[in-house]
Amino acid sequence: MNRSLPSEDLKIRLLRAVEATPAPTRAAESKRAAWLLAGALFGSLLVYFTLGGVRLIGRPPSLIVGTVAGTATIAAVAMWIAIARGRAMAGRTSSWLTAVAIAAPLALIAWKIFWSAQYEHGLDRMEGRLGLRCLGVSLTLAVLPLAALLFSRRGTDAVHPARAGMGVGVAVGLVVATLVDTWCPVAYVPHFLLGHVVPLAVLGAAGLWFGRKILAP
Amino acid sequence: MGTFREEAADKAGSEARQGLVPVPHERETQQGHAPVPATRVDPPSSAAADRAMDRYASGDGAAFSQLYDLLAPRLFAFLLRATRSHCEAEDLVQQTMLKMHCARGRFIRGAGVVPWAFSIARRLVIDRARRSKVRGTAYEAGDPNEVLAQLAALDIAADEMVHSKLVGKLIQRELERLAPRNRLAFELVKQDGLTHAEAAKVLGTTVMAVKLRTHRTCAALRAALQKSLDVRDA
Repeated sequence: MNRSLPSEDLKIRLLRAVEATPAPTRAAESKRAAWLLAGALFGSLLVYFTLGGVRLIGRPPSLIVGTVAGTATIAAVAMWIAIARGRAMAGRTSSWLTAVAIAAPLALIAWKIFWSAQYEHGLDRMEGRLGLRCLGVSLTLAVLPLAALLFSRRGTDAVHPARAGMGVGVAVGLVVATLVDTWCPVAYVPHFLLGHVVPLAVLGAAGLWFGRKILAP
Repeated sequence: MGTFREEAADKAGSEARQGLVPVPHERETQQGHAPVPATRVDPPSSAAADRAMDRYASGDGAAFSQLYDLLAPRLFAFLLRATRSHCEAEDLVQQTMLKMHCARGRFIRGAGVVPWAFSIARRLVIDRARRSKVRGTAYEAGDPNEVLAQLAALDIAADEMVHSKLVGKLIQRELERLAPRNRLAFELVKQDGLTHAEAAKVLGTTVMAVKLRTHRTCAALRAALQKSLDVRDA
């Protein structure tokens, strides 16, 4: 027996174990993931439209379009970095994932303040709008897509599952922030921080925790 | 001088990985005597493993056996070094391959299977070490008769063997003194035959960082060897 190689017996044992443990093929898994993601998106959109969908009242259309376009761009970049993995099972490096989790919310705040400041009363306070409702809506809309994305990537990231989960959480939060931007007319900074930015932190933290549990093989 | 040697080694490794030169699993002694089991597992083509995993992910069950043949010896060498236990290394190879089997449907088309397999193995080693709070156990000496037979087959002078053993110990001691991340990068590239890009994927860092860590480790080893030679000459 060669001590620098595994024993012959190992292969036999392993093949038996593999036979006893059914695992779906790529085609089956892709189909399942597609259904899961479609279902999650449908559920989130259903909640969004139940709440009223796009609100065009109270803000100039250019303010809505500009805000949403900026947020959507930031969300797209975050998704490209944190969710798209290219041809690597582990996706981007830890530094990139951390950078997205920190830079994307800052970019969102900067854009919202910059664009809203271009309009008169754009950053004014609105009575009774603390941001708790936006916080609740953001988290509700994000739960299903986040769960679906993490589940569809389960057991694949052995390098940095927690950070990958955090990246996914923040990216999903930004996509949801785009939807919430079409719905919420308030750009008052404390409201924006509580209702639109805190959800990103919460989702990032949730992604971090669940990523460690779900994404690690 | 060292740089030239490193470049030559890198070139040879790169050619071997590309399949330009044959990579024997067993080396022969200079005298052409009985083959000696290699202490380092030379890397088969990563592309072949990638193709096998791709076929397995698509549902070709027979490809798993081929995947095992291509990956298990390399994983085993890596795990044996990490755990210093033959049984534990085998157990972890089995777990790694089983985890790959369970996640085969989620394997990205065109992704590299070698870095993925090594990163799973590495995570299993870390998890096991965390659980047991003990990093590795005593290295198994193996069957004494087998060891003697291998030494006889080497057919080299006893003093050379003693010197090689001393150098080996020195390298091992120096490696253990290095920062773990530098050591791991060095081991993955120089001992497990991964490319810099593959090692970067295993470690979740950039290719440049892996090159830097490998270079630092080589420099530290070179300095330690030089120092020991100076002491011996004095």
